[in-house]
Amino acid sequence: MSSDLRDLFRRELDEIPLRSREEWLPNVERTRRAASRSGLRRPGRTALVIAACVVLVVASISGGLLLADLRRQLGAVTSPKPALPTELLYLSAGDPLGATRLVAVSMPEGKIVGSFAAQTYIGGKYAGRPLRLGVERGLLPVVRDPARGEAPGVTLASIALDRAVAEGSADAGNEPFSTSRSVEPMTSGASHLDVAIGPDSTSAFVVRDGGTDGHETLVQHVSLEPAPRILASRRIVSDAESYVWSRAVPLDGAGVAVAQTYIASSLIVTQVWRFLDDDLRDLGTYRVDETSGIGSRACVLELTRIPATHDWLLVCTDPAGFANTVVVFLSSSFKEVARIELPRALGPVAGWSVTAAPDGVVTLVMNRMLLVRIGARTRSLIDERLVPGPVGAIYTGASLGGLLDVGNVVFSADGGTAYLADVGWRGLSRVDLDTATLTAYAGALQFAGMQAIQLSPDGARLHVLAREGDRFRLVTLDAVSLRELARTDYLPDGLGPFALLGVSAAR
Amino acid sequence: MATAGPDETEWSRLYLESYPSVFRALVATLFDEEAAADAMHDAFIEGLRRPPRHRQNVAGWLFRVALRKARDARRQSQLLLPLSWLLGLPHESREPSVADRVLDRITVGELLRLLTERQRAVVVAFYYLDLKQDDIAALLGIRRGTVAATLSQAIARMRHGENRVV
Repeated sequence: MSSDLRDLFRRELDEIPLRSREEWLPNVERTRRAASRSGLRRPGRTALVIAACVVLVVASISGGLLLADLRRQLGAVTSPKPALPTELLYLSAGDPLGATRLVAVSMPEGKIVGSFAAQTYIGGKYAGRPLRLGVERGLLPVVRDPARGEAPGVTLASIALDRAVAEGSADAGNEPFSTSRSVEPMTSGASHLDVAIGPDSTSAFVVRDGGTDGHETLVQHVSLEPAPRILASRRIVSDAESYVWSRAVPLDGAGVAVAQTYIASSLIVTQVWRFLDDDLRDLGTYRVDETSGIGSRACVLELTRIPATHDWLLVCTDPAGFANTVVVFLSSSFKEVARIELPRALGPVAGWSVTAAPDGVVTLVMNRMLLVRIGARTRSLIDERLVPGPVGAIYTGASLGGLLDVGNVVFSADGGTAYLADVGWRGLSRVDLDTATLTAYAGALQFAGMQAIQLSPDGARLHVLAREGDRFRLVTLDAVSLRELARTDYLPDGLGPFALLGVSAAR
Repeated sequence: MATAGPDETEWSRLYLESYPSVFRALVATLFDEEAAADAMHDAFIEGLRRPPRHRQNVAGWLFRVALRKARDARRQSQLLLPLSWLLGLPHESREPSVADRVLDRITVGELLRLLTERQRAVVVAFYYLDLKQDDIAALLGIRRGTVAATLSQAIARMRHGENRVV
């Protein structure tokens, strides 16, 4: 028993993080003074004497009135928390595999100021993610219900995020959904539609899979000003052996990347990326398949723009960890110009956790708690460093036995800071990606649990969808210190929020 | 065997060597990272003024001195509390540190919370710093039998509180 206990103590107490080495030794000057002094050695003792003198003087001068005044002045020094700007937080609520809603909550008041019945989760249980909102607008797909006398099809509703109001809608038509797909494990969810909004929020792209055999993808370019209006449509027929499921990524306001994924007859996951301009004409194609050498893995893809080089970065990672992660550099004309393979021992990339800093350093957060840095200019691996702090593990995102990826890695806009919520949602770490150091931590004492995190548009506040059993509330933290600034009462029972889709300054 | 006390450079080296284990032992005993860090500094200064006579067990010496310093500091701050109240000074609430939160998470942290600070000191010295019962007795100024009894009581309390201790 003794050796078991000793092992347990050694193993666990060694997890207590040490301070930086500079803090191990006391201040040199103070040390020398303290070592040479023989009288009042301790600051505490000095403070005691000074404080006692203050009391004597204060008491002897006038007593109550002066003390009251002193207290008032000291009260002013300890000023209350600064007033927070009102922000609207957008929650995805309901059953992610069934009916969902977009719910707007104002912070710090905690009032529900808008609720829209719409699809807010894209994909199924094993391959899905929350809907992405734009900076100023959201485009919500609303599947019409023939059982209620509505014509079958999809309506696209535009939402002004700074006011949480609908700004009009457009009929996106009916794209019959292949009946053969219902038996496929990858599409156990309700959605076959994805929305990509450009950075200026003036237009969006909608992709929907359909066709008798599920081989076709309908791409629509939708203007959002002043109300949704379809500008262009194009149908892409895949040469896939099975149905496809498609996702869309905006190309910096100049088109869209559409990824059609399917399982080839050899059971190899294949992805065809088509890069289209605003008129939906081809700009380029990139295939992830056997011929490209990275098609053998169940690849979860991310497409990231590198501001320093204007390259695109395609990250292909296997959530199950059986294959190496591949990072592909695509030129601005969407041709492969370089490739880096990361050993599978590093673990898969955690869901949507790639960021590119203006200096050209790309950081990937791997779910084995490593920060992998890649130089975009040299297109080579810089280093791998351990994620600091007590974060145990990070979800790898979707595709792992039904875990819904609702976003637990958030980056600052400059790509220099990551906020990581750990796998048990017991801890939230702020990590400086330049130095790989933990700069702030909030944890179990502050939250019973966390469901999702999201940064405010100015990056000054971090909002947490906090979970306490079956009840939820929203908590706002200072994004630098992670100290709590505000928290709401419990959100109404039955709301069922599961993701934080976005934050907008209220107008 | 007794040896001459170390000079400042040598003392710094010995201190830094022992810092990780002693700091963690103090955090686990005091449940207060800030107090542990301050106590380490105070123990270092004490070592400059009156270095330990034996170099074989610097970790044990640091642990004992730092524990004493931490208790002294706590007593002094408690003395100041009524004065703060009288003056209406704002009461500073301490934010839990990263180390505090690690202790919240790990099993050992849960077990140590079941013990008194004195029991924690003995348990941590024995199971984490690997000090012998004789050394603990000498360091803490208690009899060996008291160390054995404290350990026994602590294990019983941990076992009673948590079935995870086997």
